[in-house]
Amino acid sequence: MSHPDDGRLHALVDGELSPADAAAIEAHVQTCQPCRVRLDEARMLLGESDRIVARLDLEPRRAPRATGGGRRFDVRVLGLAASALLVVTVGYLALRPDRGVPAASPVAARAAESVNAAPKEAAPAPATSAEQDVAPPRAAPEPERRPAAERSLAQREEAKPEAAPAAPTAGRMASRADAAEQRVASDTPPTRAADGVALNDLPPWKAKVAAPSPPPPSARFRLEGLDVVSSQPLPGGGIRLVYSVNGTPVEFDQVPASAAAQPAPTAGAMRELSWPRDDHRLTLRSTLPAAELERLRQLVR
Amino acid sequence: MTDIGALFQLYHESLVRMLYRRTGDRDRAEDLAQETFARAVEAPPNNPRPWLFAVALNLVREDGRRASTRGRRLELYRHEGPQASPAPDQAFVQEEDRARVRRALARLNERDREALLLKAEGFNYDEIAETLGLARGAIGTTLARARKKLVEAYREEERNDVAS
Repeated sequence: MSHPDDGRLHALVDGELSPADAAAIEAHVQTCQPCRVRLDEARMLLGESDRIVARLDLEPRRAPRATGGGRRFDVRVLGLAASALLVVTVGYLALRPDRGVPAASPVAARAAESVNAAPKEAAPAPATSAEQDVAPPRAAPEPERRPAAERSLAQREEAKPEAAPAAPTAGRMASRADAAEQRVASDTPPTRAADGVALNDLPPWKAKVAAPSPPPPSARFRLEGLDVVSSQPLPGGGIRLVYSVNGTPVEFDQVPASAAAQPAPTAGAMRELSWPRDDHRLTLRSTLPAAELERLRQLVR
Repeated sequence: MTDIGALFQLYHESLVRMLYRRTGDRDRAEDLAQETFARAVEAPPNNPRPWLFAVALNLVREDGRRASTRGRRLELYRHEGPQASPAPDQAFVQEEDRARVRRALARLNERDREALLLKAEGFNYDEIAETLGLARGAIGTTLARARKKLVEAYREEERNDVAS
């Protein structure tokens, strides 16, 4: 075979070649020293550039992640953190001792009002993420609702007068205040709609955002240390859990051996890892590299 | 019917991270992600991930063009202000390093940079091709060039920083 170009070598390293093409190149580099060197270089460049890009992460504004357990991603905290951005910002600014500028942008004031107008029942969610953003991570992800609500209201009362001045980006904050208010409502379980949260007033996609569900009891296996984004029973029996690993969705199907049909993946072009365990067939499916899937398999409990 | 709420949960973090890496500005990344999901509500996509990221990258480009006509610098060089970080000296070192990475990334051409950032979000070649409107066969070459350029540019930035 002729010498593969750099594009094909990188495609090989990325696991994107057909088995036949990959085998042909592997065989070629066995006998071609220059190509072997180029393949090594491709591997080095891939690893090195991944590391470089990964340095541009979002860590600086987040509290350190929970230690232990190897948790890389907490859907609940991140989802709420995103949805309560304004409250977080207000709380954060208010808690910073070095912000004492006098107040008075009307826009910022509106932002603060808007925060305060958020439904009381919905308070625990943003309070939790606000605290996580400014304080060490809490051990318990699900604090008691009532005390948390009171805490958070008190915190907001403190936050209000100081937060308004400390808002150079008041316009942005104001526009977010409305959104945050609505999103706060959308993080409230639907049963609370009776408390005055008008779910119908929300844009459809916000109204549909449910609080991240705990893994359902019918799921016999789980990926340790990761949170479930959603779950659904499979038609032929069994259950599908959907995880998010650094933003990439991972489906985890668990089907009893007795089940009639194997489920179909939700999206095309996915990598799949499937194996039997305790009279179940377990399948991990994602666009993640095969090595990542294998790593996730080690987390199955 | 696509459930946008589920899409939001699945892709929001990844989208914001990619946008932050691309723009160097977290607030802007959050705003652009919001705008992207707002558009998904108007026209729910069939193949959501490539769609969302393609829309987001288009927004970045439009935003960049508008900004440059106003005479503002493209934001890749933007230095983020002090933030709630670990120790001050450690934060400084980290911020220096981030600035170095941003300068290195800024030296890539747009397409190479986008391909690299999508790959970093776990996109496979098919998805990158769809998002960027390229042929699948071109992705390996694009990534090979992008990686080489990035690593070289980053090393050069490191040398410059040591020298200065």
